[in-house]
Amino acid sequence: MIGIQAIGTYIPNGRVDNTLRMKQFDVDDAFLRDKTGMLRLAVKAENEETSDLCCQAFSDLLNKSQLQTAEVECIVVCTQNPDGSGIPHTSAIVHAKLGLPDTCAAFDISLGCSGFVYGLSVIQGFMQANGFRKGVLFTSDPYSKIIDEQDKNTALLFGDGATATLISDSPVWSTGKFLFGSHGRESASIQTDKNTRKLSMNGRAVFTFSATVVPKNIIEMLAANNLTCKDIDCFALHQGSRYIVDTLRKKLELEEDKVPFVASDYGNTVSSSIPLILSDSDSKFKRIVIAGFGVGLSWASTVLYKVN
Amino acid sequence: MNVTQEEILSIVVSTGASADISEIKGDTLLSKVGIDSLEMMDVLLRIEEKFSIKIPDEDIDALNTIDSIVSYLQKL
Repeated sequence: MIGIQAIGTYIPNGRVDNTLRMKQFDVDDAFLRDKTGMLRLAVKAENEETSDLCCQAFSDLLNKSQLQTAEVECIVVCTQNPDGSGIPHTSAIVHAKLGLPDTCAAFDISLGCSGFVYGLSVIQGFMQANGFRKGVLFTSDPYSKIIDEQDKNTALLFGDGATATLISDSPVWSTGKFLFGSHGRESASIQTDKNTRKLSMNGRAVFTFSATVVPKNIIEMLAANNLTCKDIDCFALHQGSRYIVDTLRKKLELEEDKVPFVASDYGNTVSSSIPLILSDSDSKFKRIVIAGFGVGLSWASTVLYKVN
Repeated sequence: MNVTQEEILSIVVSTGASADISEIKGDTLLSKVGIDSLEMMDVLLRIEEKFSIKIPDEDIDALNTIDSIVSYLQKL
């Protein structure tokens, strides 16, 4: 059996202080604290590339595990903000920077906020199909590359960060059945402009999608795993904003302490938001729901089971 | 569509909006009593779900009071 053994993380030291931008965006302190929930946004250094964030997360992973670089048989990088202009794939650059073996497979997947959950299924399937014992799933999607600093809908939300999740044959967490979905017809709700490359988001469309599709998906995914919400210790939901996390918690009728919101000091880190929760989760948890949703519009969820 | 002020007000209340609901009259601007843009999205979603309708984005700016929402729905 393979599964998650350890998670390395990296949040850049740079910060944008949203409390200093309240006048610019005509919002108050309560709106920042209780609605967006993002008081500060992590921002990478100008010369830091997407692959550099991956390498920093990998360094943390090495500190948290016994992994040797020479053991890595595959890496997958989930990003929609790759190094340079996208060719070569960022995973190839990470492969070089980390000095991984020539026999190590490396490829990217293009997904946003659902990317960690999809990525888990992709890398585990790839490893099982090829008999691999150690692989690393990276998430690194620095939205500071594409944010329009004048756009209230996005400029107060997104932060930079990266994670490196070791998938191995010595897992701490195994995955249950996954449930995926897409509303491609609504994909323009979160997109980059073809000329300016800046991000735009229809906040109402994304909220409506998240508040209607995600609770249903989680309930159906739990049923597919013969579970209900009562069997779950923690719901690691994508940290889109405090308001959407609170809305989902209320719709699913969950206790507040089962649904963490941890992004207030660094922002919505897209596909990194879920592994950032997991990396700091209570070791007593036996079952954790992970649910990612966003760009696409795309969603995915599964259950993580603690391996005895 | 037959809709009352009370029904719309109860939807606003059900969102748990941070506004002082007792201050809301039919013609009160919802933003003026503290219902922010995110809470308004929730109000509109609940209206869509309750009445099985879809409110286009281009209509929502005008839906800024209880009266304007009731009037909009009554015309559907």
